[in-house]
Formats: sequence, structure tokens, C-alpha cells
Amino acid sequence: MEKVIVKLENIKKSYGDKSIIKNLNLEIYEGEILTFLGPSGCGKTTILRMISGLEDATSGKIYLDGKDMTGVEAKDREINTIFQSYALFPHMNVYDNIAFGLKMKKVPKEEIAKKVKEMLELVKLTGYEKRKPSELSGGEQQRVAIARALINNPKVLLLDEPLSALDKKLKKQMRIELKELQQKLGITFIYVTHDQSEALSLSNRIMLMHNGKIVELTTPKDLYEHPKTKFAADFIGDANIFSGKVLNIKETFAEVLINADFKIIINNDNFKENDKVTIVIRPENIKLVTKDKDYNTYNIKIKSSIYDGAYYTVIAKMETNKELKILLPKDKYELLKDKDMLKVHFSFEDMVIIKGER
Amino acid sequence: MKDKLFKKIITIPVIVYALVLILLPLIYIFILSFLKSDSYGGVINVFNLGNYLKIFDMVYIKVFVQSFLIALVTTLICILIAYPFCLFISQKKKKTQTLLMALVILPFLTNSLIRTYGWIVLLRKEGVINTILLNLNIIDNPLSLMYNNLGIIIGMVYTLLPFMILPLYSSISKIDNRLIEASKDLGAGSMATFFKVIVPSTVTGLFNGSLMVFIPCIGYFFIADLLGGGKLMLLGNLIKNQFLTARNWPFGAAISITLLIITFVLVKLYKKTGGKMDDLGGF
Repeated sequence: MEKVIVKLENIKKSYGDKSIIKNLNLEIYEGEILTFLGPSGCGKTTILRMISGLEDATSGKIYLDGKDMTGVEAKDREINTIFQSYALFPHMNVYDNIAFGLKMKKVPKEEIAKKVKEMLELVKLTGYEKRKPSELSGGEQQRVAIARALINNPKVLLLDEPLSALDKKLKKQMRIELKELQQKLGITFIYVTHDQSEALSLSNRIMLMHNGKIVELTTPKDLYEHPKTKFAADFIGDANIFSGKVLNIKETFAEVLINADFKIIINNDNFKENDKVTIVIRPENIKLVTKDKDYNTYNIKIKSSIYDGAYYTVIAKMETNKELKILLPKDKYELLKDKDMLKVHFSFEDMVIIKGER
Repeated sequence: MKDKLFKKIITIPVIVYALVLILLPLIYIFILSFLKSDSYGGVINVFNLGNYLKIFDMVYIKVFVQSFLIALVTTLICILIAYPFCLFISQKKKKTQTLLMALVILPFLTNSLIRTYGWIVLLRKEGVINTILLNLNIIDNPLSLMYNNLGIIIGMVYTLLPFMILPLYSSISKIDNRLIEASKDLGAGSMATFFKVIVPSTVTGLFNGSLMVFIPCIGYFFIADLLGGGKLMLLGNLIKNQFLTARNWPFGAAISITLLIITFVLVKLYKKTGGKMDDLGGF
């Protein structure tokens, strides 16, 4: 079993009567990238701030490497943060910004100089020592912020939406660099974002949050392919989501009624009649077929499409008036686009079934 | 087009005001400073530099030095009071901040001369402060709180403190709170955060406030007169005396011009530190 580096025990946080975090328990393993993902206002940044010590929990305990952090100030925790807009000190040059933490620890000057040099090499900014933050591009500022945090050799690095200020291309590049950096150094990263694609590509585990509670805590692959909640299915990636009731059960199958004449057959998993069921199908898993299959074949009409280089996202209308999102490779779409009527098939293995209404 | 014309028209009164009431008297003072006075307080139209040379007399140099020392001490005390005060209110809720700043500005609504008289009631030997301290048996003999340098400095600090607080508050309230958090996150305590992050980020406000305190402090003759008991001669008193008592207008004018030049140098220095002129006229 991996070593637990940060542990949150019954953490609650409220501002006045407003409860932000409702009894949170969490174990974070050494060397992993754990992402707090959720819509804004879900409490993810608040948890990060409580771990860093910039904010106190209303109740509950936080342990760092087994030690209770209650009453330990931010400055005395072996945790560093990369802030959303970097928060570089504008009056200091790059060297002084990076050296700040070691200066506070009264490390000898020569050693600081050596460490800063190493850090600049690590983030590929050698030669930038004398520049002021205002003279740097967004990506460069980001790297200075990383160097400034990592020079303290923290046990845990907290990243609060670190890429949100960058443009799309730089974002993708920094994502890769961050991941490489983490693998090289082996430091635990706790990463906060509301961007699901960032979370999927970076994390070892994702903690999906909503209204101050954990919705799901699992690997990116599991979260995307086997969401256990409607919220997760909807929040992560594109999805076609159909909610309905079990109409009747035929041995190993269950027939789910979505609306008047739209039924979907699913595998029977101890269902009873009238059980509420949510069916999730990712756009890339919808198969076009030429002939009717034994089950779940539907006629559709293409309504509109969005070109995305390699793929088309097709919005189609089903006979039951429901809309369907389908992801099609370019060549396939171009073959089919002029056809009046198409058939699609939902296979058992491509549907994710969520029991209940969650 | 119309807009531009309108803008020009509404600025005319201001320009006239500045020309007639500021620039013309200034030119007059400047010319006056190169003339001679006769023994009856009149002015003789003879060009000479005598008035400026006279300033280098030890008597007057002493007045300059005294004035600058009082102004310096006043400025330092204002900084020491204003920083904690501004940091304190900047952490309050927005509403509370507005209220507290209104309280700082409120005294401006009354005449500063009258407020200085108020201080006499508080500070004199039989005044409120001494009476209370005597009755509480904290002191045996009344303290000399006025008619000395202490009185002048108390009066100056009181009158000029808002000029330090306003620009400093404006600077401090602009600090990105994340910088302070970053500093703590990187292991800095409160003191280190204050000196390494807060002070450098508010240097403009600090210089601005210092200038706004230092310069008037040299000229506020009535505070030196009322609370200093006329014992200490400051530049403001000297100028006033030359015009009203000694009736040596050209010499008074020369001192005024010298003070003006010193002020200009200070403002230049302020600009060099990155200060903006807008901030000086900001309220």
C-alpha cells in the first residue's frame, strides 16, 4: 500500500451560516497527482487553502506526513502553493522571487545561489535572473512560480488552477511539462481545476466535487468510462444522458422507458419494475449500422455538425425528438452526410448504467 | 468636435483662476526677491542677489535646519502611525473601511486653526490631559506638553496625519492579497512579510504621503506659533515675519522662492521613485 502523505479527517468549513465543506475525509498518497475537480463554488479551492494553512477548518483535522497540522501556520508547513495568477512579487526580479523561501529559512547565500541556478535549469529559464515579473510572458511567469515553490523542496505542492491564465496552446504544453516535472521529482501534487480535460490528462486520481461534497474519487479512466453518478457523466466529457424507469424485465434484460415511444434495452442488474435508471452513452461509442440489430436500433436524422479537424461532432435528431451527440471520423461523416435517414445502435458494452437518480 | 469645444470652455475659469491667483503672484514674488527694501518697508527697484546671499547667514540656515528636522520627525511619526492604521482598516469589511476613512477625513471639515486652538485646551498646564493625569496621581507635576517642540510636533502630526493615511491607504488597499499569502506560504513571518512584501509594494504611497506631510509641515507657521509658543522659528514663521513684521518683502520673497525650489527638488525625487503626479493631486 502506498504511503499516505496528507490526510483529511472529518473536515468541515463554513463561513457564517454558509457551509462550504461538509464533513470531508480524504487520504492523499505520496507521489501522486490528485486533482480536485468541480464547478466553481464547489469548495475545491477552500480545501486547498486549508491544506496550505492559509485558512483554518471549522472542525476536523489535517495531517501532513502523520503530523497534526492544527495550529501550524502556513509558513511552518512543508507545503508550497502555486497561485492562480502566480502572485510573483512584482518588485523583485526572478532570482529574488525564487530565492525568497530559502532567504526566509536563512540558508547561506552561496547555497541559495546554487539552488536557484538548479531551479532555473529545471524550469528552463537560465539567464532570466535579472528580469522583473512584468517583463515575462505568462508561461515564463508560470515557470518562475513553479521554481519559487519547488526550491523549498516541499512534501506537497498545491496548484490552484495554475494554467487558467494561459492560452490554449501554452496550456497543453505546460500540462505536459508539469506532468514530466512531477514524475522527475516525485513530489505529491494536489491540483485544483474546473477544466475536466486538464484533470483527465494530468491526474493519477480525480476527486470530483459538488456542493462541498465528494461525488466520486477514482482514476481518470474509471471516471470517464464508468461514471457512477449522473453528475460525473455530465461533468466529465461529452455524454448522451437518458433518464427513465424500468418498464418490464425479461430474464437477463430490462426494458427502460425514456419517454412515450423511446425504450432502451439494458442488461438486467437486479432491477425491479419502476426502478429509476440513467443511461449514459459517450458520443464516440454510438455506432452507425446499416441493418436493424436485435435491440436498440434507432433512426436518426443529422441536424447539424461541428468540424473539429479529425472529427465531426454530429447533432442528430431521433424519431422520438430526443437529440443525440455522435462523434464521427471525418471520412465516415463525409460518406454519410447526405443520407436522409441513418440508423444507430446502442450496444450493451457501450452504455453505462447508473442506478437511481443521482 | 462639440465635445472638445465644451471641454475647453469649462476649463477657462480654472485657467483664469490659476493665472490670476497663482501664476501672477508667483511671478511677482520671483521679481520681488531680486529687489531691495528700504528702511520703511517699501521696495526699491534695484536688481541684486543680496536677499539670496542673506539666506546663507547662520541665523537663517538654522531656521532651515530646524524646520526640516521638525518636518522630518513629523513625517516619521506619521509613517509609524499610518502604516499599522492602514493595514488594520484594509483588513476590515468594505463598509467598515469606508466609515473609518470618512472619520479620518471628517476633521478637514473644520478650520485647522480652530482645531489647533482645541489642542491648547488639551495640552496646556491646566489642560484636560494634565488635569486627568494629576487627578489620577499618575504624575505629580503637570507635564510640559506645549510651548515647546513637543507641542509643535503633536500639532503637526495631528494636522497632517490624514495626508499620510490617504495615499498610504490607497496603496495598501491595492496590494494583491495573494502576494501576502504567497509570502506566508513561502515561510515568511508577519515581520518579514511586512518589510519584504508590503513596504516595497506601497513605496509609492509612502513617498506620496511623506511629501504631502513634509512640505506643508515646513510652512504651517500657525502651529509653531500657537503650540510652540513662538520659541522655535520655522520657515513658515520666518516668511510670515518678513512680510508682516519686519516688512522686508524682498527677503521674504527670496526665502519663499528658495522653499519653492526645495519643494520642486523633492517632487522630482518622488517622480524618480516611480511616483505619479496624479497620485499627489488625487484628493
